[in-house]
Amino acid sequence: MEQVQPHQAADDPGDILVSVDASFEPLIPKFMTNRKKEVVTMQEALAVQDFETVRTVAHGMKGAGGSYGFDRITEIAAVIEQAAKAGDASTIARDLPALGSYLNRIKVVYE
Amino acid sequence: MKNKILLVEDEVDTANLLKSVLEREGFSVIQAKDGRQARTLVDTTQPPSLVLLDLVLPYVSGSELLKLIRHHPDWQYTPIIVLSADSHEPDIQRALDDGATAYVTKQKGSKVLLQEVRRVMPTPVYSALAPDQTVKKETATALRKRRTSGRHRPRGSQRKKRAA
Repeated sequence: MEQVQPHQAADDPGDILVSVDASFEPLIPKFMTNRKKEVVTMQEALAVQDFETVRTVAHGMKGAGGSYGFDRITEIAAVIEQAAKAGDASTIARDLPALGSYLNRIKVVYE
Repeated sequence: MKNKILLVEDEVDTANLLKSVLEREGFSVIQAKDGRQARTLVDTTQPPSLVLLDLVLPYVSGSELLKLIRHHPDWQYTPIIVLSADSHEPDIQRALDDGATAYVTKQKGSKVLLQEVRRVMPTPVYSALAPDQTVKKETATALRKRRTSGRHRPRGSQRKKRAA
């Protein structure tokens, strides 16, 4: 799996094409839906300063992104996980919208 | 007979992906969705051919499971690949010191994982005869011979040297 535009910033407009092994196709819709739900979960947790929930969810997303080959998801989730460990609300508040935006712009290409 | 793999992973999408990849390669997969389920399986069932173990798990951590398996009379020689999202060297070393046969980061993808699975998987003759203590010793020797590079558990002499 390889990102076609790996260096595009997460807050840039436009689609981000990610090529994925065709055998993973049945799993991708649920993967994307769950990641978007997790962004909402982390936003709600941040609103009540629940850093433990943010950390746990971000850690899971870091691993899931890596397993499926969505390296940018892993990168952003890793930053959020570290920020949650440090109780750094401003970094989380900055990166969660970037993560949500990135997820909404992904277009998966199966090969 | 298919080689059986115990997959201990709490993140559902990652677990589904790994199960799909492993079954496509001809392995039989048993899943534990948290550390407690995995501990129950260790206590109540015969060992599989291999354990794939996440480290960050609800209820019972992967590190605790590693130690539990390595002290269990029936499971102690079962190869364990730790599969983690964390790639910090101290985490890797701790897992290897705790008894992991190999450590693979999730970012490496399924190809690297399958290479490690094939590398550490015991041969069928050893799996079939595992209850015999003599054969267990041979299995352990065979496993040690497969540990040849970087992110694998060091040999006994190296471990002693590090401890000294």
